[in-house]
Amino acid sequence: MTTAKPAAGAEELREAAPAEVPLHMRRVAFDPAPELSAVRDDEGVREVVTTFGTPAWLVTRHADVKEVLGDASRFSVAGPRPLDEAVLGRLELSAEERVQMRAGNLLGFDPPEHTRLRRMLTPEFTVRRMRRIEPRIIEIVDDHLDAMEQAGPPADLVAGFALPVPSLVICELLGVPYADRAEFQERTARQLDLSVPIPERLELGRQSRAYMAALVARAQVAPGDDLIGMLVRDHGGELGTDELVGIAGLLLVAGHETTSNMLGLGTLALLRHPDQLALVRDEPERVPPALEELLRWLGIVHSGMPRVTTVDVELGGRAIPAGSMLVLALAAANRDPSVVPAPDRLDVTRDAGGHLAFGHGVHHCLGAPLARMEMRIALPALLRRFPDLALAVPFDEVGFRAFHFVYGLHSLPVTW
Amino acid sequence: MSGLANEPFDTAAARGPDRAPPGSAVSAVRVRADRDVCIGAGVCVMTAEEVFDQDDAEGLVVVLGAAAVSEGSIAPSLTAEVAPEHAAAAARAVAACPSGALRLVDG
Repeated sequence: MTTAKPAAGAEELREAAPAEVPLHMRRVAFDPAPELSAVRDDEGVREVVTTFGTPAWLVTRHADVKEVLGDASRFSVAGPRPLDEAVLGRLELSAEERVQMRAGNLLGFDPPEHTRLRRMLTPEFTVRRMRRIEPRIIEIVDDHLDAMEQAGPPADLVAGFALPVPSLVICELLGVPYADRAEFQERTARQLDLSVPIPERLELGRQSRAYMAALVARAQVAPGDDLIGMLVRDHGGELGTDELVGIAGLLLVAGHETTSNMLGLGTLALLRHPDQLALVRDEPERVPPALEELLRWLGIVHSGMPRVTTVDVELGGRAIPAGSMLVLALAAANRDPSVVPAPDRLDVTRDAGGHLAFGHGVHHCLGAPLARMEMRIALPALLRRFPDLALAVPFDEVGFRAFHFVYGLHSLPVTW
Repeated sequence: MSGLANEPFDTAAARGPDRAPPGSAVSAVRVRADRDVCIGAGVCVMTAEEVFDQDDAEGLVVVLGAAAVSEGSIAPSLTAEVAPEHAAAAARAVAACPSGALRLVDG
């Protein structure tokens, strides 16, 4: 038994909440910061020190990032990561809580444990399944556009459209009461905010698990026809309660923090490129390729999970020993000239197919078909409803979420 | 709760791609899918919906036109010929597959 006060570790970590955005997350408006792009154009793989003082290797080129993501046996997400020990070790979490924090989090398991969990969810996110919910997504989008139109300009596009549309969709899909949104919308955002001190983020995690545990307990008594109900009904025997809570919590966060940021940031990107906005608005067949280009160009998920090498590897010409932590710069990789010519230019008319915005390999985004469908419906519907949509503030007053694990906007004031 | 996830399962899709005529001069493109490797990301269906589908029960890849179902379950490895007009899309899907479950194989 330890007698040390947990507060001491917490105090150190409060100080450790970074004052500076880590290199792999650094941006200038839509673009990877010049010093991040320089790593890709220079040596490609660079030794860095993480915010918490542990060593890591920053991987920036498309081919190298894709190789890491594509090989779960040499590049593990399950750790043990030096970073986890440096951070969690100081918080003196109980073994039980560590297990709970990890349970059901697909992002933190390698095959075969990952495969077991993923296979339970795969049928829920097929392309055909998404097409079945398309009419409901259209209805949700139209309802929110109606509300914006009735309230009149100006409006915050994030609060009025980009966040609530995917939020309502994921709530209905999972079986989370949308009426509780005031509780979880802010929490999901703060849990992924690097500027929120780790002890506070841990506490938010505890609150999330407690909230989700109550929903799971209800579903275990009377499973609904939603995703949580399906997991209880079809897999309740093989999934522990902690796993059910973890899976549902992960999907709730993922459903909130991805499409919403793509809608906000994507709209802003098009407002800054009016000719391309007009193409997306007026020519429906342009929408799917335009979305792929926006996904590539914006690369809103900076990095995904860090990987740990399970064996000595060579990557980008560097010899990296087993047990090293790798940080993957997805946004820099998506702007690699090997992906498209003139990669820093937004061009919605091109084929941006090879981007890594949804990752690659066995952890490729489970919700990608849902995200694509939401964006394909929501973005053109917004632009058609308000053909004169415009920024309501100067561009340099728009607040980008610099410290957030998923890039996006705090708010987007628009008028029409 | 409106229940977005409550739709009944379909049976696996039965439609197949248009076949190239037997003995055609162009060497046929065949595609193989390994369902044990597949993670059901659906990239192939979005890239080449004339060639690939996902079954409703497991959400894993199905190659349209492949002899797939035996005794109610789908074989782990599926192979089918791809119509020439869909060959380019099939090749893009093979390249884009995140799990490496797809291969182009000799006719």
